Amino acid sequence: MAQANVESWAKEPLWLNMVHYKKTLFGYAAQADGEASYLSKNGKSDPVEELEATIKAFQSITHPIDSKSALCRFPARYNWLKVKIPTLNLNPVNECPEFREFVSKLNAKSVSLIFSSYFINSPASAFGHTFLRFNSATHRQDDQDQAELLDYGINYAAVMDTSNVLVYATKSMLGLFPGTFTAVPYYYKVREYNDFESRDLWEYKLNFTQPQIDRMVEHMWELGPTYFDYKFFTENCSYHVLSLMEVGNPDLNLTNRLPSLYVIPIDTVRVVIEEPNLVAGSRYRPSVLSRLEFRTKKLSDIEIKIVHDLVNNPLRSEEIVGTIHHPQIRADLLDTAIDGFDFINAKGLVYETKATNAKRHELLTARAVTEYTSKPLSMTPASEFTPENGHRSQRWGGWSGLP
Amino acid sequence: MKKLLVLAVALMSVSAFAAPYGASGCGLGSMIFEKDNTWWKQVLAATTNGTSGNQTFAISSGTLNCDSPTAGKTAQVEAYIEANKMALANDIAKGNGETISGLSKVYGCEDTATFGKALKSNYKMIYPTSDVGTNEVATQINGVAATACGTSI
Repeated sequence: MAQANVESWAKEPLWLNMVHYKKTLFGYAAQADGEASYLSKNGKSDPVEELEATIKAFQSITHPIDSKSALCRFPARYNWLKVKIPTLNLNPVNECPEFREFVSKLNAKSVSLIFSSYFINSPASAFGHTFLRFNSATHRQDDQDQAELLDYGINYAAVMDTSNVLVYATKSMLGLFPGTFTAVPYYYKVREYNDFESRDLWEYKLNFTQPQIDRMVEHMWELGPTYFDYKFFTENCSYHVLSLMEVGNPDLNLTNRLPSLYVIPIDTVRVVIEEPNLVAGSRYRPSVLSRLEFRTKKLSDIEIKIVHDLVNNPLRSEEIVGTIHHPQIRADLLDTAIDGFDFINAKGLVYETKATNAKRHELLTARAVTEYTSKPLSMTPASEFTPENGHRSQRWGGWSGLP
Repeated sequence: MKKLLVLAVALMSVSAFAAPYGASGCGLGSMIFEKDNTWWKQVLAATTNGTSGNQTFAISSGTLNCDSPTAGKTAQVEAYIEANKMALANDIAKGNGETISGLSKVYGCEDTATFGKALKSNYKMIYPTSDVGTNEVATQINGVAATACGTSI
């Protein structure tokens, strides 16, 4: 291998992105903090040395190949070098069963950026949260949106080891929590955010080619065993969602455009939306509270009174709606009452309090015997409430005193 | 300015420490996850204990893989029913909704609308009492799928 080649490859954006190098005053520093990220001693600060070690490791792969092999550990790096070095002719998917299982579980055909809005009960959650969803190729064309609950969300979060407020605050400020990537079925996230915390979700479908998506999947696999020091203000979930996208497409210039002092998830959304041709479409997934507000707006005062009555006396549901003979009206009122009940009793429902369960059971049974199939709600949020029209983090009124 | 920064930190930490399970991301979460043994906590626990050694990606264990062979699907369906408990009961009472679409896909139903209607008309059989267990719910849904879609798992 000619040294000149290696030195020039080490400067390629994709290599720098895959090892998460950032330029510093004195050279480079890689952001991953787990040793699992590096094959060389000075890998964290030396892109050339790390690339040399990577090439060496790939050229000395011995059979039988096991999961600790550099091939199975760094499939994105391997597939990138494969194009440059003809002697590298293995296929990580064929040789590494665990990696193959990961790839086939995701079976990714497209990627969406998911933004969860602010948590109504907590001002600090004005930060929101962002993660990626890998949309499976198994969906039928006609139910693409419908089966997305079964897709995987890729989440970057701090692994907490304390519930002490002060310890948490100190550690998170100093970046002492490790941040890791995990894959979670999207339905967990929907239940958690939409129902449980009553936070709206916005989904932005992104334009990536299949090879780019494949590389993101390979790179996520590389990130699995490592960690980044979780920096609450800068290198947080929003930041790393973008850095993953930059591995998919190294031409994207996202992380460099983020505010440097602190980054909040809405900045991620903004940077992504501002990037030309990156967003293919968006979809709004209302929280239980947003659904409730939407439904009640359509009701008359008398109907709202009935809904109140149902939420307060669910055990008498059948009796309360008994006089309403129009099935659709009866269904609308019960559907509104169910959202209202779920919103008010979120806590009791999670703890499965006997009394709460019994009330909910009555309400749902009354709905089930009403012969009307609910139509899906078609809700479009007012444009001033969409994330892309929100305020920029560093220009926020309440935060304007910050540097 | 210093005061504001202190306030910001205080606000953040209050909501942030409340996510000891580390799954809600960005340090945000909810106090109510603290109590043990709620179904919700178990569901979240399932999303983090899938790490097998440090060579694999942490991937949730209680998950659905629609391409997997039929074996083990019962457990996957139960995980889905458990995690979507409330939303699924709502959708079945109403006769349609996203959790039914997901289930329909798992069962390989050609016609989600018919499946939804069948689930709705069997609501009282699926949820006979307020404290019916997940495996009983799964058994009944399995029966409905067999009739409505001609498929079972």
